[in-house]
Amino acid sequence: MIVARPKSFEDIKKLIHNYKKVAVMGCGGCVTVRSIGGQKQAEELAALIRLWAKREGKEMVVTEVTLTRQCEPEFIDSIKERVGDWEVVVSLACGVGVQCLAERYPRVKVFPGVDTTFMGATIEAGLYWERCVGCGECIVGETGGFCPVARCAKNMMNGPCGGSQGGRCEVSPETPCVWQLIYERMEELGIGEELDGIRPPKDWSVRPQRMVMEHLRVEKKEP
Amino acid sequence: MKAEIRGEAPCITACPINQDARDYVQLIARGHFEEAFQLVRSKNPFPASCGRICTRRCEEACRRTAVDEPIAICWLKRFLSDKDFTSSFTIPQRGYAEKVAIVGAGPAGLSAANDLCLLGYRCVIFEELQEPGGMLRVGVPRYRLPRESLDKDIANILSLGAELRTEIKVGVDITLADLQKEDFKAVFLAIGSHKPLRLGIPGEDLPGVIPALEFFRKVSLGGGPRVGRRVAVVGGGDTALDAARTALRTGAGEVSLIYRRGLEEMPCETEGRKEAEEEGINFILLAAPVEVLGKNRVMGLRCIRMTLGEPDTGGRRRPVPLPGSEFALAVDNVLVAVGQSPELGLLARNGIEISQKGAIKVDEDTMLTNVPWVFAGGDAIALGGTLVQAIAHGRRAALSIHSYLRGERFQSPVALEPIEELSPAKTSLIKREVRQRMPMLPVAPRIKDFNEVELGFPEEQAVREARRCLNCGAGAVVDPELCAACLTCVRVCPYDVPQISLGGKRAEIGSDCQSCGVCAVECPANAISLRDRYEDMGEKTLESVMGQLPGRGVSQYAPTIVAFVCQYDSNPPAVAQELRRNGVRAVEVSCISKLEPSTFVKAFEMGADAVLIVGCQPGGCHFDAGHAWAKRRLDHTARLLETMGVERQRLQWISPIPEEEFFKILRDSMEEIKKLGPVFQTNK
Ligand SMILES: Cc1cc2nc3c(=O)[nH]c(=O)nc-3n(C[C@H](O)[C@H](O)[C@H](O)COP(=O)(O)OP(=O)(O)OC[C@H]3O[C@@H](n4cnc5c(N)ncnc54)[C@H](O)[C@@H]3O)c2cc1C
Ligand code: SF4
Ligand code: SF4
Ligand code: SF4
Ligand code: SF4
Repeated sequence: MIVARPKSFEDIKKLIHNYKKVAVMGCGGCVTVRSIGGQKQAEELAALIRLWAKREGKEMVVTEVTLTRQCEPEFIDSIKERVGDWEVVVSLACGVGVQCLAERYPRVKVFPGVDTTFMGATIEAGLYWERCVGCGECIVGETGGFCPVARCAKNMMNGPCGGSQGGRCEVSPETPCVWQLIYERMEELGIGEELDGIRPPKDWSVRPQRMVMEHLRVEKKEP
Repeated sequence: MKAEIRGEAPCITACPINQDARDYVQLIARGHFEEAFQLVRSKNPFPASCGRICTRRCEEACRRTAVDEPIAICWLKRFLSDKDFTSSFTIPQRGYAEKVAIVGAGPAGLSAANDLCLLGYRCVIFEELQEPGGMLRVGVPRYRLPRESLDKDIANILSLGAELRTEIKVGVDITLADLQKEDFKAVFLAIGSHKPLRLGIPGEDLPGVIPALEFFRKVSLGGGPRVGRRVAVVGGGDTALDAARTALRTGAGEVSLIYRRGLEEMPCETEGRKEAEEEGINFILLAAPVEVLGKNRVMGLRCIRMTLGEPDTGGRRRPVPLPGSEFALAVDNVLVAVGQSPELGLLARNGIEISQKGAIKVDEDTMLTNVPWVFAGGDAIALGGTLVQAIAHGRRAALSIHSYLRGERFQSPVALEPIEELSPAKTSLIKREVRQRMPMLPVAPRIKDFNEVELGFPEEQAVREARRCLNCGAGAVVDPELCAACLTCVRVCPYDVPQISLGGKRAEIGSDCQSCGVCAVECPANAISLRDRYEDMGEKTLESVMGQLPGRGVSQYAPTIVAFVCQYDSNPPAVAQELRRNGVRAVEVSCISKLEPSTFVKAFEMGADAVLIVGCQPGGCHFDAGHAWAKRRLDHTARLLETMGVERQRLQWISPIPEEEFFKILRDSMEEIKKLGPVFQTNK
């Protein structure tokens, strides 16, 4: 799931200080599950903005809305009657959601309220860790179920590097060296020798990625 | 959309009048005493009496028993009734034309009158004795139910408009036919059962053998009989206990109570039994009298030992005499308290059907007798009844009479089902908290007079006791349309209650919820609310306190300070007084873990210059985890506020104990806050 981090209030202030009509928009998807951008957080941020505006003697109308998911056209459309009331939308969705809003409503300024950080998993309550970069060519089948692209500081396809120290990564000792993990797991599975060859570099040429699901494409035309 | 509530708290379902035990206890826990009183009074016309002598089926059913001891629900009601609140009812301006006659001014009759007046009927209560109250006045002794308390209840009922005609015995001074002629359209017979049952043994008619009811009546009307030094009481119910304790107070030195079953089987209240034990009543159990000894006066009582045999039809084990085990007691009086039945005169003459045991027969649903316009209830239909049952009958009869007079079919109220029992796995997670003990008169002075033995809870004790309540059935509930199955509630709940339902789609919160509110605050989707209708997580109360007080003076700056106060583990009246003295606006919450960060922010937005959180210390929370959650949210909010220049001192936690320290820290903080000046500078 997508993980994001709230922007500091300092940053948000800078984005909105010139405006009078502000909406704070939560997303019911990933950022809700991560307690970063759900209805509750939208409410909290809106309260903070109102207080700040009052202290600054600014006249500001702050609205809070939460969409089921900000990355789906139908949900984004559900606010089309109301967007006219706002000059600015501070979106608490991930970068995808922010852009979807911006594209659909070109007349409103859409600002991110969070910094989207990675796709990751919950390790324990309140601790998330990156696991995937969305490279477009999944290789974890060859690497014991660990992704070297996402989890190696140097994105090495043929590790470990010389900086692997006692199973830890030299870049940050909190990070386990993923190549160490890969070797251990493959040995355990009895297929260590599969790592012997050299893996070719990944093809990073086609960006942005695009995907078509032919069977889901619907054309509804009048008969 | 809310998930369906399955069942109600057992304290509520077990009560014959479905008194809102949980809810008034919760209101006391928040310090909202008047509201709690009105809630009690809305279902119970006898709060002062019930708060003292009720048989407490609620406490028997209380789920807290699985953890330690039941909530002292009854004593909490008494606490409310001891305060000077009066009921606030509005009587319909335009009532009905029909008049209803009520025979007997005991609790059943008075309760029916109470409700009929509220429905808009004119009622006349006929009472044989000089004063109303029934057994509560001429039976239950004053050391358990002082007359002033009873009078308070009755005055309150009569203030609703019923007319009381005393010293009129229906069936003798006036007949049912007369009532019909006087244009009464319905009658409620609430005549109690005042005819004592006899022992049926030789010597019973000797002078000195006194039926308990006669004994009480004489004592309560003043100048009653003095008993001899040694008294035997026969019976095992409340009446027997009261006879024994009253004998002690009217001159006896040695009182024995003879009961044919064991201690466990005694059909009386445990508290009363313990008090009697303390007072030195000698319990002779598993024994029955066979003959009163003496010639012209009582000299002794011959008894026989009993043993418990096969269960009878009612499921209770039948006592059987042990041959050859007879023994004699030397006594001067024998008080007989083995039950009573209604006086049949009035009934027989009017063709009212009587059961084999001598009680009036009614349809239990409608309280209607075999005579179409005559209803009956209370001890007259249920021998050996209780106060609360009499109230329940009176209230049901009022509704039924209303339907009858309006020509409608009576719709009996739906019986409430209790929620599931607390699962054993949770009991160990719930903090042990001892039940508050009732302050009592010391034994030596109390057996010399009829002063009330139980003294009542002071406010601090009442709130402490109320805070033990688990708020059963009023906990968290998930709105499935909002829930994102994020697992937050599952992870944060201190009691491991929420679960993601099968299929992994939505969270569900079962009846083990303790209403701590942690999940409701943490749920990012705002999908969780608390069912408790008095729980506003501080929000509404905040609005009202911010609206209430006058704006600040023009010339001199006085900061507006809001304090969110949890009543747990503190001395609430002292805390409240100190806050008031300092001009702080208090918002009572039942645990500071129920406060949302945005509520703090909103307090500032509404004009607070500082926000205080007055609540437990680390580890001191009723929910254990509450303090830590509150502190974390407070720090989080304070940091956010700092980024916009709101000083840290404006959002503070203060412990209410020790009291002296609290006073000092509060004073210092007030000074500090004052120096900071207003949050909103007007020149900006
Ligand atoms: C000693 C004792 C202790 C008790 N302790 C407890 C206790 O701890 N807890 C508890 O819950 N219950 C207790 N009870 C029981 C409780 O008092 C009764 O269940 C309750 O009072 C029954 O109410 P009632 O209105 O049906 O009858 P009563 O209270 O008996 O009232 C009936 C009224 O009708 C009047 N009356 C009778 N016939 C006529 C007539 N023909 N015309 C006019 N008026 C008439 C009577 O004078 C009386 O005032 C106790 C009872 C006794 C005797
Ligand atoms: S907008 Fe982003 S955060 Fe919201 S559901 Fe879509 S991907 Fe998840
Ligand atoms: S704990 Fe409270 S709500 Fe639960 S049964 Fe006891 S009094 Fe009622
Ligand atoms: S915290 Fe809220 S959204 Fe998350 S699973 Fe629980 S109820 Fe659902
Ligand atoms: S209110 Fe408290 S006890 Fe109840 S489910 Fe939520 S966290 Fe658990």
